[in-house]
Amino acid sequence: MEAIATTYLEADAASITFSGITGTYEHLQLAGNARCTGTGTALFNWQIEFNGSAGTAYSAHSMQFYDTSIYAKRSTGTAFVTLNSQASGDGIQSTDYGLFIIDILDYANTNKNTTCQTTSGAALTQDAGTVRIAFGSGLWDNTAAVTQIKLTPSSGSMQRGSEFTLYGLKSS
Amino acid sequence: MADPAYIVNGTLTDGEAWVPISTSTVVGTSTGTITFTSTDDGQVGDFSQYMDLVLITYAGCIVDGDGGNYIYYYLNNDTTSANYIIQYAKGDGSSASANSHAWNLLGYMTGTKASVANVMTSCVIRWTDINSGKFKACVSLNGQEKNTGTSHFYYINNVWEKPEPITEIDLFEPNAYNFKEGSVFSLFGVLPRMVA
Repeated sequence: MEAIATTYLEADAASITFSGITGTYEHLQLAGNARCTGTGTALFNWQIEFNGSAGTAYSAHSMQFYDTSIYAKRSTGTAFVTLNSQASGDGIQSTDYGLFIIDILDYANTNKNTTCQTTSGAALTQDAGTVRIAFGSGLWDNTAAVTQIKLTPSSGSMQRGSEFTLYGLKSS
Repeated sequence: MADPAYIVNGTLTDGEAWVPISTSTVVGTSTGTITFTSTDDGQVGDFSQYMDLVLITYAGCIVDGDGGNYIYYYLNNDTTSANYIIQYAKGDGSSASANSHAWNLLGYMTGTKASVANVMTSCVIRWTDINSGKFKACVSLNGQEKNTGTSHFYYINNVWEKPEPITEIDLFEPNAYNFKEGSVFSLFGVLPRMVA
């Protein structure tokens, strides 16, 4: 696995984008430690868009866990893959960021639609009855090779101090 | 001070982002605590250069049972359990459950009962942004299938509520059962790539 690029936000930013992704690798992995400026202790969504393509070609589902509660969630016909309730807002303790790992498999193959799987944990110091860990998958119903990945919170901006690194896994 | 192998003439080469730091294998006698400490010398064992740490374990412990034992951890010798928050989800083959506590738990381990003598438990843990001024969060995936009794699968988010960089990881069983012979613990550092 090679590190392709790291983005470490020194100021709040509306979104982060990794562009110019070549077909050098077999798989991609995006790992991050982040939160957003959305107001309150609620958890917001991370939204993942490929190749600058909005429209309605995305869907996602996930399992989510808070305390003793277990949820399942699904979204379809959206303009991005939704990573539900894993973006911690500004009402929680300022040093508590969430983390996520997103695997995007066979991203350069133009015969397959693009899917990803997500593993994530939100900030734990807030206790507003919201999701604390989740895992799920997403689909971009398009066979184009992935050359750009954009990540946006559903409320506010990416908060200063958030960190994202894109990795490439070479073919064995 | 000599550069580590992945730095050539002062430049980070396009090598593996995952750098093997150290592997600890329990040989002969059992071991109570596994410790990984940053070497703080600019070499591969120096945690300060990494963005993330990944710990891969395949371990069991010395207790006459087939399960119900745990891998716990401390960071930087902080032994105050209240400083660690966990949210977990688990499945045991017939039910799924979730809960949160002030625990420093990373996963389950098998014991030494004859029926599981050669069965150990896998656990993959990733801490992110380990040198930041943020709390240190990890996710752990832990599988314990042993074809007898009750097996478990754990998915854990654990946060150490301290902003210090991670310089030491200690692994242990909270009921003081030692890790059994053959248990393996491998620590990797994950490099970033800062680009303009």
